[in-house]
Amino acid sequence: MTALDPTTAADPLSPGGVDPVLDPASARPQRVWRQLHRNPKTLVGLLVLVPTVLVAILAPWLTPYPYDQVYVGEVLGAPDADHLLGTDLNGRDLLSRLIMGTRVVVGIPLVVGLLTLLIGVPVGLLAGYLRGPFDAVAMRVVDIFLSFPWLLVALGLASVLGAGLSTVVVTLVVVYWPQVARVTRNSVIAVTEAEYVKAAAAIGESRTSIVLRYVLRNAYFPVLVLLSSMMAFSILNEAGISFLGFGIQSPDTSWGLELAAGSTYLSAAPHLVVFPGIAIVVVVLGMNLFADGLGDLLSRQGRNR
Amino acid sequence: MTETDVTLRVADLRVDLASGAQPVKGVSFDVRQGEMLGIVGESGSGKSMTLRAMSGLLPHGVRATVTGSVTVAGTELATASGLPPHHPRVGDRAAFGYVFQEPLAALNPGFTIRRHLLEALRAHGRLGDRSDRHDRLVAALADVRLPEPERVLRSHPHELSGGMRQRVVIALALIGRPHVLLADEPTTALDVTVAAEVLDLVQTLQREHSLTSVLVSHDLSLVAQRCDRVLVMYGGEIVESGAAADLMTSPQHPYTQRLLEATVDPFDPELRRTPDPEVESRAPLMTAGGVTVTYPARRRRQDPVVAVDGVDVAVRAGEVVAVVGESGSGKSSLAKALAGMQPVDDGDVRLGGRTVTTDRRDRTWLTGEVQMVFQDPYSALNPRMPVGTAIQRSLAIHQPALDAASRREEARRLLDDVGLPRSFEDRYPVELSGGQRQRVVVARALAAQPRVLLADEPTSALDVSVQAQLLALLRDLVDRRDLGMLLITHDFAAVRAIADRVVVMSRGRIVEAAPIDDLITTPTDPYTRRLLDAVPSARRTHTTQEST
Repeated sequence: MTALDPTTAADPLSPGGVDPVLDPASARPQRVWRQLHRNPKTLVGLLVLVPTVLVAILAPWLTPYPYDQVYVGEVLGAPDADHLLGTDLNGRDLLSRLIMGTRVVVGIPLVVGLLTLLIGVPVGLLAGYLRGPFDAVAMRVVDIFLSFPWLLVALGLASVLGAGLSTVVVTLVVVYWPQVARVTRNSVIAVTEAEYVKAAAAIGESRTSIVLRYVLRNAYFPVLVLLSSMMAFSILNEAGISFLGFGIQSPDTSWGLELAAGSTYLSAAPHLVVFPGIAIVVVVLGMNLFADGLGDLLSRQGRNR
Repeated sequence: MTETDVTLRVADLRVDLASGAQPVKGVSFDVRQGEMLGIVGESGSGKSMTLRAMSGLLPHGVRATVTGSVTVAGTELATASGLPPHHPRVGDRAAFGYVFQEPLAALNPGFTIRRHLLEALRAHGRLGDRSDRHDRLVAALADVRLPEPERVLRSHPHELSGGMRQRVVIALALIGRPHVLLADEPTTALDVTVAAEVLDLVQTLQREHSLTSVLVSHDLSLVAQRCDRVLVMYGGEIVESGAAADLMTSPQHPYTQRLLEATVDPFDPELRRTPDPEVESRAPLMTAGGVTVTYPARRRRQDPVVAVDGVDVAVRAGEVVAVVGESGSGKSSLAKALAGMQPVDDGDVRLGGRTVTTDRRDRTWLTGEVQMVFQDPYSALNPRMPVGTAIQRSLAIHQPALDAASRREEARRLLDDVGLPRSFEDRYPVELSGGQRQRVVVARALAAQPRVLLADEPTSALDVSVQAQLLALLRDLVDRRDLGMLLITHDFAAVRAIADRVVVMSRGRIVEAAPIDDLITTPTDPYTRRLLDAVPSARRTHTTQEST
């Protein structure tokens, strides 16, 4: 048999050239832009999320009035030139309050997402890789936590911690971490079955190294997708908890709280419900689109593997 | 040939994918009534695409424009607008019947075989009278020589063996009384002896039903043995066509010549291997003595499964020992036991004065002595790790004295050793072809500086010409580095190409062990003979027909 050059030999599937999309050497920014262009969902999501984050960071400088400044005599004022979105029950400028509320909208998903990952991923990783008794116990705990309705958790925690931001955060972490743990576990189990994990053991890799270098690197996509949609839901849940009075308390503000406060005066001052409502819908929609698009992108990468 | 003879005529068939690629670039051929045409090519040659495009079966989700014309029994199927329709019909018969590579994927796991057949009857409008329906189903299965058709009708696909499943698929394909039977790698997923039986069946049916068929395969010798005429495809075009015998003896196109050179005929007398007496005088490196591996019973009150039953194997430095057997013969379990990845129930595996165990504390020692080359290079590498890093990981474990810079240098040297350019170190596995990935797997194994290499079907996922290169590389490494190698395989061509000695396994036991030349020329065990008979070859020196 002749020795053919293996790099050029008959292998029409890879004729020397490399798919530019998959080539890590090709310029990153262009590659990212091309991916976004092909995937309008992610693009629209980013168009909502990036301004939202900017507003949250710059909030104190953007508010036309101090968010807790009371203007006596302008209670429940309709939108006008002075107060673009009108004023609330206590005569505070609604626009300023919504701008300050952006900080909650951005902060809650970040904090809740981070804490959820810190608890859920290690539990799921160990359960999925070790299997056996640890897996059985961990998953039963997860089942128990999954059976808590968030409303009940919020109610219970509010009676212990009192209503406020910490109740919101703890409630959401309690409700979300078991989902992350379960998804991580299942993904880890699927990856652990892969030949390259067995191959890693065959070259003599230690268990820690296998878990970190081989399993986790290939198992995180579903977790990332779940996390991004959970972050969107956390905004809705925060609004819900604050609406019920277990969350953020006046004079602090959040979009859910404004919505709750305004709902009593729906017929007299509809703007108090309409504007926070629109804000919540737009941001949650943006996050969901982003999460959805991210899922598409990652699953396409998954196919290319 | 006269016009009326031609059952299938494909003229200037082209497939343009939305991505701009052109997997089929103007393919034309005729198939006569009752003829079996073979199409040979490697992955990416466009052979499967041709078959699918002309029969209206392009994979779901593929956006493509198909042009050209397809004529079956005088009726043109493809129109100027492109794609032929799904399941085209000519008269009251289906234009095509399909048999695919993986019978399990072609059958619905939730349906009984009866239901599959009924669905096929309904699809072809042949449900007919209820009273004799059952008899017709039984007859359809009897037609493909399935034993106990009544029992098969009640079975689900998972209850049947691979060969039986493929017979069911053929029966399903025949229900529409197709003008042309299209078979795409119909036996690649089957064991050699079973594959031979299935192909025998197709040929018998062809005679009985005066069927016209097209057989697509990557295996040149198989196609040459079975088909009347052969087309060779490369890069979306037909590069050569002719009678099978002519093609094998005097190939015209350089690609065909290369393909033929890469195809090892196990019975080629020129492949005789002269044993090196120096190597033969060496003491064994690794010895398996009476190794027995059992798996616990799946259900209670069942006996445990004995996968390996008292097997003795030894391998010396500088020699390749092949372990040959069909699926279920226990060869893979033996490989796992030798690599310390499967506990041994009886007997022992000795290596360098120590006993191989599955003990985690022995892993670093053992993996420094025994390294594996895996069957599927597409899944043996971490998709998120550049190949240079993959090799360096092995170096970091087995040569901890090296610093980062010398590890990198050593990894590059190993890429040289396996014939890959150094620039590949930053590439991810997805950017490499199958043969290139398998070379990376070999380099990673060598990084541990092992004395024994265990290769479990290292070439079965690769194209023929790439197989030949990889086998040459492995043999070269064994000779240069004085490695002992165990080649686990079902493929006699691979065995013939590089092995010194062969061990034939069946049902967990060794039925025959002999030097390669003796085994090929004078097999003594009946099972070995059956295996050898099933190997497609033009130069066979004995057959069971003669010996029985």
